[in-house]
Amino acid sequence: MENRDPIPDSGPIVRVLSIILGVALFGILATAVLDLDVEATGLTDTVMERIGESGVDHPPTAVLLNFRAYDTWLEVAVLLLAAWGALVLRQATRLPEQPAARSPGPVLDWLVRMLIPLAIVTGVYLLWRGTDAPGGAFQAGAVIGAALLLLRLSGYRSIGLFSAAWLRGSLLAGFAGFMAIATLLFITGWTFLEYPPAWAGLIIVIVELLITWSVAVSFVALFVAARPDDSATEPVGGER
Amino acid sequence: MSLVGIWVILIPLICGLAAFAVGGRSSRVIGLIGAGLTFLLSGLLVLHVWQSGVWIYQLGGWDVPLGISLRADGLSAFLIGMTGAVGLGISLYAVRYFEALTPGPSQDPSAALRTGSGRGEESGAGDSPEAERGGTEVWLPGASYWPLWMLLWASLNVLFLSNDIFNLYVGLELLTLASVALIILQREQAAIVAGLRYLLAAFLGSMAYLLGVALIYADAGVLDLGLLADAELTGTATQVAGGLMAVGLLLKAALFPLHFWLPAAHSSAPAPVSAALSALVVKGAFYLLIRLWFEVFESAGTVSVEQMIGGLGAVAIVVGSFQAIRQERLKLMIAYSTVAQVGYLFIMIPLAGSFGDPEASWRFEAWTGGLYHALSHGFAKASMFLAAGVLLSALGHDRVWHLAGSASRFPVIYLSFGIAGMSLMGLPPSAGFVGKWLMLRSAVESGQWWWVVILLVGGLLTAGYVAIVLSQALQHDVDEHTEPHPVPKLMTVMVFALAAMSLLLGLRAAEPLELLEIGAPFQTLMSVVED
Repeated sequence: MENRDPIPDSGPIVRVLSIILGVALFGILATAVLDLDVEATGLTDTVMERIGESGVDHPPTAVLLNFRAYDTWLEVAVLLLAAWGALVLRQATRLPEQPAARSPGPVLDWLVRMLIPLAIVTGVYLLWRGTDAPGGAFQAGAVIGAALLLLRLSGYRSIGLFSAAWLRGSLLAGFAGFMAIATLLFITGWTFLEYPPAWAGLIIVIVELLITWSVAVSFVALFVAARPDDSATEPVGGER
Repeated sequence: MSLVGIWVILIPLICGLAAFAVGGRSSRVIGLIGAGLTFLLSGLLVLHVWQSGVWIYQLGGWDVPLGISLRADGLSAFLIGMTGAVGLGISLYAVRYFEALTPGPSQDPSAALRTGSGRGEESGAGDSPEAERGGTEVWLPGASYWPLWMLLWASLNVLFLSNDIFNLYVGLELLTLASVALIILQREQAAIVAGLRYLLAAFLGSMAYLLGVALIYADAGVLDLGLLADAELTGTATQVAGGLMAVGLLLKAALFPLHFWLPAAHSSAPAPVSAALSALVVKGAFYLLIRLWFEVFESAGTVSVEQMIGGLGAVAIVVGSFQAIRQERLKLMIAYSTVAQVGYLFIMIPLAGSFGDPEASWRFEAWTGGLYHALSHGFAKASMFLAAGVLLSALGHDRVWHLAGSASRFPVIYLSFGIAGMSLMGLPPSAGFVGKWLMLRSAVESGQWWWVVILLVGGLLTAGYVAIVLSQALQHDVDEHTEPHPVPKLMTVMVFALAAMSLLLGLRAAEPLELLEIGAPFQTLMSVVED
């Protein structure tokens, strides 16, 4: 099989059928949505009633990290599997260095120097804000991941510096840390994924911190590992 | 003891992560420990449900509807037990399988084992540019196999135990991603194409399911299966949601004509992965479908829809079997056989559905029959794929017409293949017979004679492709000129053990059937285990 098959051109019948199918699906979904009760609040009231016991003040954070922590914990595993799958595709234990070190012009250079600290501060702020306002691990991780990516794209060394063990450790940190805390508490007699009320806030911050780092590295790993031809070029490092 | 349901999820995850962290060759030791422990815990969970009935656990101490609950009834325990036993067999086989793949100092690793292309394509770690680089660690397929396989196993247990429709979605995602990563493990072109196609099909299925979850939550305001079952949902939104979820899950369970992704994906993966995909992963989506169908959307199913799904199952049996007969490569034949066998599972829907008297005992018979068929298929199909893996490693190919005379070299492999085939055909005294017998009885009692015809025809067609392989293997004139590579004994032993299980479960069916009664969504007043 060829590597880059052109996408076969679908005939007019397939196209017309696709349009009909799409319109029909839209119609069905629209009917269903119009049928819904617009006043319905779902579980919002239940969440607000018990948010005081959760250790945080922001309802989505309380739901994600405490009431339905099981979902979030497994979602972090989904992310880990996605990043790991990309590494399997490359058959690599670590990520390649930038193929060729470009020399960024003075403008780019200045911009990167300005943006990286800003991105880190923004990321940490988003993480911290998550306890009482929109924000949290996934958003913070995305911002910090973007900073790592910006470094890489402008010719600086970033993710390629990670040794195999560091890369694995970073990808695992969120899921494994979450699991370690939950398992320790579980062994000492708590319900699985239950936090001692006095410690709930602290545990949530620690878990979010670890998830942030894993999310950031996973995003970069997905971006870097998904590029097809980097591996053909020898790594160039140490120029900067 | 009552916490065994948590450990059966935690242990494979812990061992999977440990295998991740360690990397390299030692990951298989951790993987094996994980497999052994998970097997034991699965057994304990079955025992616990058997002795104390349905197990329910509120995660984080939050009650539903705020939190998520886990629940193990007879059905969950039945499938976790199956996964535990099949999983252990696959793991023991995989130790030797991936050992042979590890590049040694002198031999070319890709020559020893090939996954399934059999066309001499590039394979193995030999063409990996990253392997040379970095100095510290070489990429090994085995080192990635163990963590991914442990995560896959854990995600199956997550799925079987979850009692929350959103959490079930997360479980499905875990299952899909672990499967895809395992399919592409050896980085053959064919496997990558098949893996990507599988990923896209499975994601489409997941998205349809998730859309359904969103609509149900908007309509009912809860996500817990138990609360949803009590809510008696009848609105348009719920019906649309049910339809979306059903289509998404049918795609993942590969019911005809949504099976298009299956043969390539299941046949191009390494043998222990093919076995897990066909024996276990397909059952995950099937499990979720019948869970929702008979417990949440109970009132929504109409006779015509049920008959239509059964009809698709019937077409799957005929088309899948004919395709299997036509295949030239053994692994593809076995993969098409899975398409056909999945068809049998869905004959359960019209038989156990709303046709006729709602109190009738044939419903429970059909439901248990279908599940028993799933059980027997789990063991038999795992054995078949592992057998194909042995032949592929030994001979370097799996072309059916070039297996002539190889039975004298691999007597145990073909004996196992025959036993597993017997179970797929539904011949007594195999486990496949028990499942088919229960479904036949249900069809006769409910007066849906047309399913009797298809169940019998399907058995004959299955006999067709099993006979092709065996008759080739038993020929006198030997086709092979070269000496086959030696294959580790443990691999052969596991092929036989799994086939033997598919036979033994037919001889001793009373207990597993009784297990299914615990928390079953049907009237079980009339005992059906007297056979």
